[in-house]
Amino acid sequence: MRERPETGSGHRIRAALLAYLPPLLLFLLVGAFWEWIVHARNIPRFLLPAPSVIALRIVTDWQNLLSNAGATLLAASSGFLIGTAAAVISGIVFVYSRTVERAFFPWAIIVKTVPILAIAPLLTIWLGFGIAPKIAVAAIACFFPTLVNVTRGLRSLERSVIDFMTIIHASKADVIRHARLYAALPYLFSAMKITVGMSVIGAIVAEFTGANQGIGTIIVNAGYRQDAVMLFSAIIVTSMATIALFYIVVLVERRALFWPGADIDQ
Amino acid sequence: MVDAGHSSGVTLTVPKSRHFVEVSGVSKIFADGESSTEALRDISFSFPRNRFVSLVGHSGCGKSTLLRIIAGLEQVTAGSLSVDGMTPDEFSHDRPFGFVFQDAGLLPWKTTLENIRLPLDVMRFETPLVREERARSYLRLARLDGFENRYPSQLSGGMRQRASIARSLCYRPEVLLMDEPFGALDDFTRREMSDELLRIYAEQQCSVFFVTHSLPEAVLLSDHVVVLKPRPGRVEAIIDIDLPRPRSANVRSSSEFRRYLDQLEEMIFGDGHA
Ligand SMILES: Nc1ncnc2c1ncn2[C@@H]1O[C@H](COP(=O)(O)OP(=O)(O)OP(=O)(O)O)[C@@H](O)[C@H]1O
Ligand SMILES: [Mg+2]
Repeated sequence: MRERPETGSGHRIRAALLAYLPPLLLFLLVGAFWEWIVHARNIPRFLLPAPSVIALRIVTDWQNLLSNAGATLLAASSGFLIGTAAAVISGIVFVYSRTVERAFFPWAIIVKTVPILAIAPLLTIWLGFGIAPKIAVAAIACFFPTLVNVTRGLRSLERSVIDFMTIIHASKADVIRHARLYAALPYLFSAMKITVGMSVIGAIVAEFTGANQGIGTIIVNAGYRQDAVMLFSAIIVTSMATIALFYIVVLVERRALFWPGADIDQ
Repeated sequence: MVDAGHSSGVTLTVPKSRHFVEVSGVSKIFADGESSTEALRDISFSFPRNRFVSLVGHSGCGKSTLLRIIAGLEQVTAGSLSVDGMTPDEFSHDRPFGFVFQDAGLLPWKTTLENIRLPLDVMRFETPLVREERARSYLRLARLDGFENRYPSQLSGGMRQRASIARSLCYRPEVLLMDEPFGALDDFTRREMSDELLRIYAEQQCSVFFVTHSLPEAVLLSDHVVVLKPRPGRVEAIIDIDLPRPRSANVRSSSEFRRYLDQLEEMIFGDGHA
């Protein structure tokens, strides 16, 4: 399908330009204004460094930033996958049995209401300074929103679909396999697009309370040294990484929601 | 006591009930919390096997409820009903009902063919190859050739209904229940669809209960028309349609057809009753 006529692809490039040009222009404009105000007002570097200075720091320090960002991302995405999987499995179990749901839902709410900032040091005490506490915090951050969404999605079947499944004597497992799982997919991805960012934040928070590597440790150290340039570099690298993770989720979503009209986020 | 449909000459077991479908004194009250709705009161009728029965009446007179009760999707509040001498649940244990919904009720993530095959898959019918073949033959019966790989949202309303009918016919139900299957369609498509249903019914004999708002549709298709009156739903009359079968679409222009139609219209819309 790649053999599109020249005019067609030209059209597409123009459409893409039209879509991406305004945000890109605004981005450059804000950057230029920032650069200008720092120089014009002589703002000291430890308060607000100019974008050019930050960019230079990212370039010169890239190995350090990359390896630490990699550690954070590995923890965040592992936690994201584990938390999401746990939520999906719990959702399915809840659909199987209302009794189990009634018994376990309060626990899920407790997990949700415990502040991550408070639980992170505990997990570090229990699990050490390695990757484990980061994964745990990231997973906990993802779990509840996904659980709520997936459970609602699993229950979102139309009445006539449920009735028809009853008519043909479909078992609970059949209804889940043929209908509920698909009905839940749009809800799942809707949740994942939000929780993927939360998992990165969760991993960084865990690094704050003690870790041997990661963006969180960079931020803590730079904070002690009042190194605003490094803080900004860490922030920018983190958000770029988070955006990358977000688009991976979007890419998987496009594959998974294969039927027309599936996407609930329009 | 001998049913015309039975051909066995030896056994003389007395059937529990005379007719294939027997509804006697069925009432249904929906009660949730403080409010309760009497949907059906003292409904009785019975029909032999392989008849086409239409249920007509004003909106809210309990047609859907009655159909769902026959299918075993709702329980009766009072009265009883039997299908082939059994409760709907017992009957459907080995012979699932066919059920066609107003909104088709297809699964959006399955293609037309997968949707038609779904009941066979769920029932683990023979082998996957046989299911595939069976589903394809019903796809053709519903004149959906060429659309087997489309998803429901890519079909027209009429095609969705045909897929839904094919899905319900492919496991060859002895009893087919249809709740306003053409209700969401425009007049033109609707007429085409009732002609199709006439053809399909002639090809595959089964007992049909068909809810409709269209009186011409009811007369064209049915052997019997049950007229219900509302609040609460009761049987007003049962009209036998003695038009010869096989019927074709042009029976519509016959004078008997008009006569039945006038009779029904008078009964439902006439001023002569409360
Ligand atoms: N699940 C339910 N809970 C409470 N009341 C119900 C329920 N289902 C139906 N009813 C009530 O029962 C009555 C009959 O409803 P039903 O849907 O059977 O009517 P109908 O003849 O199919 O109407 P229509 O032609 O509009 O489809 C209505 O008053 C309705 O409000
Ligand atoms: Mg109805």
